Amino acid sequence: MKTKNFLLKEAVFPIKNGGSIAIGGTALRRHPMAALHEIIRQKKRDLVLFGTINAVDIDLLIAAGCVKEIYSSAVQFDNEISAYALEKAFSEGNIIFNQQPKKIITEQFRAGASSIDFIPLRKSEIMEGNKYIQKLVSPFNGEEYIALKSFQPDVAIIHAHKADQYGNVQFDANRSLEDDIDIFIAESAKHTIVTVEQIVSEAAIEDDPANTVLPASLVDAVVEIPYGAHPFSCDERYEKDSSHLEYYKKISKEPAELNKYIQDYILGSSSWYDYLNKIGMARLLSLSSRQEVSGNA
Amino acid sequence: MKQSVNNVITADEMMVFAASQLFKDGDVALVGTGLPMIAAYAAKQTHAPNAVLVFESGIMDAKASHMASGVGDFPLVHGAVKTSSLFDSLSLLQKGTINLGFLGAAEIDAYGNINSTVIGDYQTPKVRLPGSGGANDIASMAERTVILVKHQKRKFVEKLNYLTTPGYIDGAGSREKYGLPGQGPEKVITDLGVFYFDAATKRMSIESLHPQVSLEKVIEETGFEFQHIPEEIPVTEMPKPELLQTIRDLDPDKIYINK
Repeated sequence: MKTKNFLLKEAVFPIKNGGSIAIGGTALRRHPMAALHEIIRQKKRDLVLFGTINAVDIDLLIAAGCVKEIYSSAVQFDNEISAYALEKAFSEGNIIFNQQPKKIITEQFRAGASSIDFIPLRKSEIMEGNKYIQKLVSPFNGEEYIALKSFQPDVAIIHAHKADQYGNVQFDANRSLEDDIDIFIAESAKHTIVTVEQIVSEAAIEDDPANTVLPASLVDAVVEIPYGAHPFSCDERYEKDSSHLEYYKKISKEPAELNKYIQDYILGSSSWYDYLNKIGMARLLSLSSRQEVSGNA
Repeated sequence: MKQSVNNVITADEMMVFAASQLFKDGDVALVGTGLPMIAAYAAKQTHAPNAVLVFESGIMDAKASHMASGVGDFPLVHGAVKTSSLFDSLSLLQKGTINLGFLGAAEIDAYGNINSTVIGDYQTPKVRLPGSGGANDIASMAERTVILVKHQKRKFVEKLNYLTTPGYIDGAGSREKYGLPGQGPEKVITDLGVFYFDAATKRMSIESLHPQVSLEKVIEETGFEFQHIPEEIPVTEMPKPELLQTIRDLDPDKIYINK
């Protein structure tokens, strides 16, 4: 069996300037941050991004000058505040932001996962000029629906809990939420990269096959990246790093400070491990501690 | 193992062997229980170790060493890397991930079309058969398919009672006309021989007959005319003794072969 276990640099390398990338994770949970840092270090340009509910993940890519266009329901700090680099780039006309309702996006990934061209959905919104949405009349009852063109990006990147070296990917049985969207995102792309907290043995996968979400045949690269979603949460493995997210929110208001952040934490880090050293072991371990009930979901 | 000392190959074993030879290493195959499953395991244990076996119930990359009696059987789960659902496994067909699929038939015609629904009229049948199951999905969308069927006149018919599962439908160009993504049946394997479809007409033709099988017997058991019969009919290749033993070891209790 072919092994698909790569270094992060190797896994990200095939992404082309101008290419389209679907990014896993939702809101403040499990965005593939280590891989996004590597995209920034490799200076990819003119990317078209697809995501569900995004945050610092996409905001950083925008700030680093990697992005041309975005399809997402939001790029936000929380339900009230939109991310600053996105706001700036959008208001200056430097990016195209196709903001779409969440349900529409999930269905576009679902259709992409099945490699079908479009999927119908009950009429909720017609976005003028959005080339992914058209009117559709049901051939059965004549009612108006919308036809959503599927998302079939060049590359998908998701962060999961574990995989074997062949690319069979699992989520922990003990997880915060169900993960159907990340699976659809992973399956929608022509090339699928999965970063995982842990590479485990094939026997460990076979012991628990009901928790395998992606079989090796649908995965092109797996990369072991501990704390790979930091500062976002990763189910029972670790909580989100609220103080780091607050810090980002504070400094990203000022473009100069945000550039310094990117320099210090990303471009100035030789690898993800270098970044984790800057965050600090004590902080990282505290995120995994069961002692404290933080009250953050 | 009573069987192992016997060197005379049975018709079931010939069918399993011939089917196993159609696996390419790395194929993602949707496999049903029965002879295809044993053929798949034999292929995986020999020339196609990287074949991925998917069962309709949602079991992926099974390495089961013992036999199951249905696609949802638990013995299959042992050694599988993923167990999910019917939705998930059949979505792989829509997605175009499945390279190879296997089909059975109550009736088959010269174009490899299959009936597994009714004998007689649909509303008032003489016999009601189990129906499509996943067969139509597999035949429509898998890249290649292989049909395994007992060679009998009542099964090899000029006209089907009911078209459940498309082969080449009305002949060359039909699959394209109806927009079916898969390429159509690659081979038909019976207890008498191996058959292919003529490139120009898409009608069934004789590729080889199993040892000791006469052309007269095949013609007698076939209700339509073959497109092509070679002047000198090749004899189907036989498995090496080790491979025959592998096939027998896979089903020691004779659940599927040599019942």
